[in-house]
Amino acid sequence: MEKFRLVTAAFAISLAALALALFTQLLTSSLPAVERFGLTFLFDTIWDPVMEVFGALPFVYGTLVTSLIALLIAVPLSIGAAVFLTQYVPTRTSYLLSFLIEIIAAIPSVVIGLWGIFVLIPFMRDPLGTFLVECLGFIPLFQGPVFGPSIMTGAIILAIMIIPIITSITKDAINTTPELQREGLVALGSTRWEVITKIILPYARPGIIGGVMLGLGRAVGETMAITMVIGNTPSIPASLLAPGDTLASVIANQFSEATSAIHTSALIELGLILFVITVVINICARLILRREVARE
Amino acid sequence: MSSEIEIEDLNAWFGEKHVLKDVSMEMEKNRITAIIGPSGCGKTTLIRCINRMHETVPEARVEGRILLNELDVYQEDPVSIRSRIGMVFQRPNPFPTMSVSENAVAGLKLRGTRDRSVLAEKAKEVLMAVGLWDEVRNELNKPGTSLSGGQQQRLCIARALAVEPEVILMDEPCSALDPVSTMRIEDLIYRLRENYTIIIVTHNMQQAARISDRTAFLYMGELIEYGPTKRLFEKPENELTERYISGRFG
Amino acid sequence: MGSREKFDEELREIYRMLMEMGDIAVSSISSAMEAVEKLDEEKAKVALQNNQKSFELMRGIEDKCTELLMLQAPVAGDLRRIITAMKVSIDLNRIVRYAKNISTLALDMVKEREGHFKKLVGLKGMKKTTIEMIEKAMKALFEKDKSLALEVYEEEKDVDALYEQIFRELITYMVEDNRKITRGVRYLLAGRYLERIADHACNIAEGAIYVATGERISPE
Ligand SMILES: Nc1ncnc2c1ncn2[C@@H]1O[C@H](COP(=O)(O)OP(=O)(O)O)[C@@H](O)[C@H]1O
Ligand SMILES: [Mg+2]
Repeated sequence: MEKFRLVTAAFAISLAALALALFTQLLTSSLPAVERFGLTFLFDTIWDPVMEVFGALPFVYGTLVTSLIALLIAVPLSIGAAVFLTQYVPTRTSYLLSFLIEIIAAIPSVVIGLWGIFVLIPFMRDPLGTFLVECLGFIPLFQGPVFGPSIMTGAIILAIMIIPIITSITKDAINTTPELQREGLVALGSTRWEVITKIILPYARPGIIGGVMLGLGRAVGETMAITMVIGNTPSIPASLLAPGDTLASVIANQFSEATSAIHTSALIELGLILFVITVVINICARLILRREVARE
Repeated sequence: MSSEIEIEDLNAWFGEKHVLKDVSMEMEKNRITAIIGPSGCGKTTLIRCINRMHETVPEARVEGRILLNELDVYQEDPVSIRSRIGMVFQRPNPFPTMSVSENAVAGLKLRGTRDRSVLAEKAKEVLMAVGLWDEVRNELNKPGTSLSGGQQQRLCIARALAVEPEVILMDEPCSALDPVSTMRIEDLIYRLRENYTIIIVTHNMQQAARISDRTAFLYMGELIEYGPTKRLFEKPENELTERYISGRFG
Repeated sequence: MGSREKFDEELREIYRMLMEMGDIAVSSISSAMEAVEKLDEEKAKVALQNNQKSFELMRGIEDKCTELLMLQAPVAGDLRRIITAMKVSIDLNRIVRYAKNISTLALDMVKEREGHFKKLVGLKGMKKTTIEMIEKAMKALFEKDKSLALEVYEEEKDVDALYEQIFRELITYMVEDNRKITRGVRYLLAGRYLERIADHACNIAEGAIYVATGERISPE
């Protein structure tokens, strides 16, 4: 028993050490860039490897904005889907549909990226983009011209990729709603809608938040699929319908062909920023969850 | 106002499992009807058919008629039926996110009452009706789940009363409570019979004998015997009833 | 042993005690009446001793029934058997007390050193019928036999008729000859006690019907 404890302790410690090592590795490798650009790295909007000007802001912007829009699209859809699957359809149908949704999560992201190139981008160009410009064009975020590859396209791809995660976690959370609570409200003479809004969703809230955070983490770190549809343009366009770039995709795109040591180091610093963002999201998720649980 | 219930040839299923078989009985106005029988005989299912909760279970099915004052329950909107037939569950289930007073008037709020003074008034009225007012008047804003088990169950009864039902169904309302709380609830149920028709499922035969006017004995989904409680406990007509109530079940 | 089996065991014990009381009651009546008929002091003492035994049995039954009611909260047939056992034990004990009273009359008669001034046909008849009634009522109780219990009621009418007859007869004797008053009153009292005993036998029959069917029938 004692031996077993030692072994598990060794594993736990080495995992923690690994995370720490990763962090220090990123830190030391990005040191040249950090020393050369200092804080301006974070705020500069120009990324030009030829001129050796490196500013991270377009990628931070791209990452955060695509992820947030992805959440805006995915969260209502996922909650709706989870409620539908748990409350409105017979068990067997629910099983089948859930299985199909979960399959999306299993599709390699490069395949989703290909689908994005061949289906989503043309679709974005023609009906959707023009439609958005026509209806919402007065808002700068939706002004023309319409590009196929764009921040919006990337966000939609991310949304598709995180919907299965959020749906499945929300479903689980809904299924933990105590039957006794649900029945208590039904017996008082409430409609199905009231049961969902007054009992099921409040009860599932911590779980849903957890699922959303997990989805956000996935969206922030997603590389391949979004690289293929976002347009890879290091700028901060006013419109969501213009191309952009994200931290993960610029690293993936440029790392193998980085021309100088400082370019490599700058890319690693982008990795460090991505690492910090995901850690911050994780911590926030934990804090929110803890508060939610304490409220119970 | 209280109403009478008439059940005609009721059959109920869970999937393929036939759990109620041709049950016919009447429950009188302003009376307490007790339903007794061994575990799994269909007591809960029977009362859940009355307020149409049975059909909310996937794969569950009902046939037959249930009349609430001659109105066919199965021809009406289940939501409106459930607001006329209240239910109290085996385990107290106040809503954990609501305070004591919010719990008491949860049903009224569902029905769209927003006026705070009306809600507060009603909360006081029903909490008094269940004898809880003096105990909780200083804790009205605490969560409903912070009360003791017996208090929670009385809160659930108050919650059912607030929507002014005609019939109250109770599924073993004391089975999770200590003897003192049980006695208090029994007294309460007995008092409520002045204004409501009450149907109570109980596995406690003394309880049925103490508070009910009529008792029904169910066995394997069939209504074996139904009659005035005193008669049923003194001289049951059916051999099975006699063996069950005197604790000689093989 | 499960609590239900223990319950059944206790209830059987109560009925065994009840049967013993029934035997005591019958033997008390027959000894007391024999003491009267034969002016036999020894026989009279038997009935006097029975009184104590019967009282103890009655108390024992009461205790056991109380315990069962308290601990087992019986219903239906069980409840009817327990309640009836308590009531019947009281009736049987009363019967033994009446038999004791008859024995006391016998002792008084022995002290008077006088023979009977008439044949005691009527009293003998009453004795025979009351004993039969008690035996039938007890049998009806044990065998849950309603029709047998109803026969007891019929016989009570015979006892009443006999008592009426004895009463008239003795009044005639006493009016004719006032020296016969003391003895005559003793005969009359013995008859009266037997008539009371028959009443209690009817109570037992009533209990038998309650156990058998749950009905409570009233005399007449
Ligand atoms: N949700 C359910 N699904 C399938 N069978 C059920 C369900 N609930 C109850 N049953 C079955 O139906 C029968 C009657 O149950 P119930 O009405 O709860 O009995 P009782 O309340 O008398 O104990 C039992 O045999 C039980 O196993
Ligand atoms: Mg039940």
